[in-house]
Amino acid sequence: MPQKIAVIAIGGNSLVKDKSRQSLQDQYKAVNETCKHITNMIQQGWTVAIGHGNGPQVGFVLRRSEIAFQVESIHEVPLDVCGADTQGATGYMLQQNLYNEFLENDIDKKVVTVVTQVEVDRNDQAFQNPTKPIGSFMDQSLAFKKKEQEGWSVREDAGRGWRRVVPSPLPKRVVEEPAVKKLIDAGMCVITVGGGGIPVVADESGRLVGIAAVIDKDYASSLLAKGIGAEMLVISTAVEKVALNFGKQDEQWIDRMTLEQAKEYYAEGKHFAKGSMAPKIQACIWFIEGGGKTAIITNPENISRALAGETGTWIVAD
Amino acid sequence: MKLVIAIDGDLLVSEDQSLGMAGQLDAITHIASQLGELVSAGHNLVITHGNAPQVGFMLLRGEAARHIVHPLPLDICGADTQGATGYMLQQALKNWLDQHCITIDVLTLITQVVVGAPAPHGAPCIKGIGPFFERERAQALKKNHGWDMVMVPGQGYQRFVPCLTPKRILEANSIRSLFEQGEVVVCSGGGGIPVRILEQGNIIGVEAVVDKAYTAFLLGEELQAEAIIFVSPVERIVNTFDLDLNYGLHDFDFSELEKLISCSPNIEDTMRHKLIASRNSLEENGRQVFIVPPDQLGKIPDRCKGIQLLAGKTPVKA
Repeated sequence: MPQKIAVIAIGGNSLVKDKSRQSLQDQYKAVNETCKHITNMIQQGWTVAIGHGNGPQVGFVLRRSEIAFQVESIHEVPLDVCGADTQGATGYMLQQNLYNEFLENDIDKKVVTVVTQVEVDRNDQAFQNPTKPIGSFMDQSLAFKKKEQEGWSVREDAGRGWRRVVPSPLPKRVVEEPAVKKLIDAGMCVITVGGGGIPVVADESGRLVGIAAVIDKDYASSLLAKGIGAEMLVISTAVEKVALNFGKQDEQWIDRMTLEQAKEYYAEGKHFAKGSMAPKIQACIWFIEGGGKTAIITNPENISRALAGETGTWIVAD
Repeated sequence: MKLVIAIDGDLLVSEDQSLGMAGQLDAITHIASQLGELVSAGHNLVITHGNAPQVGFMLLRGEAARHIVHPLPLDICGADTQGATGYMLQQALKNWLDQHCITIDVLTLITQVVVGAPAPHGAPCIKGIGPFFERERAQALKKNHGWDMVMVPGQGYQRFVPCLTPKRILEANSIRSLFEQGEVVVCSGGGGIPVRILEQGNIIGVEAVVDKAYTAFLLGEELQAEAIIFVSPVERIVNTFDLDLNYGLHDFDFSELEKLISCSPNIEDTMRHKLIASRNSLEENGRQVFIVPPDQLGKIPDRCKGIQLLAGKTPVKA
């Protein structure tokens, strides 16, 4: 029987709810909730690959690394290795929780995490213009201090505070995609492209090397979804639906839009916040353009209802 | 041949710690070229590795930053190092294979092991991990976290955790699925993330360590591998077996191995685990075991200089 394959990209809010809930126990609880929703999806017959964010987690790894370097002279962890670290830890929490959910719900399904590199173009313009927020939120004075003293690029993030920004090149190739495809074809649930994948570039001789950048997890999930022949891309985020004119008086929630409409709204440039909803819409557009059937944007608690067509924002070919 | 390769964790970091992550990458690239030779010779590999130095760094960082960033439990440290070491290994080996026009994929799977009894009789059943502390701090840690703090002469107080035996690899299906399709799988780093089974059957991480030697034999069983290869620093092998490695492959049979284990109290813990795990396995199934330094790995089985452990007096033909 051919499988119904879906890729779900889960947002940072599925892992770290807010600043008061960052500890590993809190993360584990948040992951547990999200896993219940994913399990639901699997019960509806989907074979699922899971991509996830790692912004706060990379921030924690970096912070530990910086402090330990300052006080104990322990070597620092480069950003690509930070990404690999968080793929391991977050993947572990997800796969353990899913194992438990499958057991509880009598689902005969295996789950595994694949450490995943994503190749980007070394000439990508993003390297000239860092845009991707990472790490914990800071107030303005701390942000400016970091900028001065440590050369960080910093930016105000959708009214929620200040964050460090690093380059965010476009993903070109999911290096481990063939293996992910094999596992998916064997009916397994696969956790992959964590944090958008570990960013690598090919050097002059074609060898892959890690770089200091962050890849948008929704873009990477979209690319993966296309590559493994998924029918559906689900982007799980903080809102139940996408809105036009978000946060303004004429705000309008969208139930469904065609590829053409989505492209139009996206091109108008005023509807979706950059670095927040805009890349999610873009990821959906690329997925549908690449042959995907349906893309859905919703929040974790509404995933099941959204799959049933009751809520979420659906983006379809026509 | 189907081979399980188990690499000592200290071979994957640089002896010169001032080289930091670049030193680690160099060490890993060297091992990867040897692994590449084995793939090139037509062997099927599954690779596991130690993570003691890597977890050590992580615990040091966690401790140094404890007042600012939440610390990491031991299972998460293990998952982190599986991600990071796996990433570097898979990148380095894949690069080597690409350069030699071998189209085999390499990937890392995050791996949990269900733990059971303490390490077998005669093997160390506890292990010191992480930084050394002054007495006062050690007492506070014991009080606040329930840690077992042990005085290590000349060094200070260190946290000790149980060293447990792995019973089952939870991701064995995924590992087998890819291994049987000819891919090189890196898995169960650090012996696997230790988990235990609760009453209802669900799993939870454990604050313990697992020695990779036992996990290597479990992998051997799961994959019906023909040999287990331990890769260890040359001095560690020479010191343990008290012989010159310049004269080819040395055979040790079961009774010689028994004698070595019981009559040499000064064997390093990591080697003792290897020897005891090997003895217990040889008793059961006669699977070949090699212990070789990194530069001999690529020449296995016929041309390498190292140690071969055999079930009986008659050497098993490779």
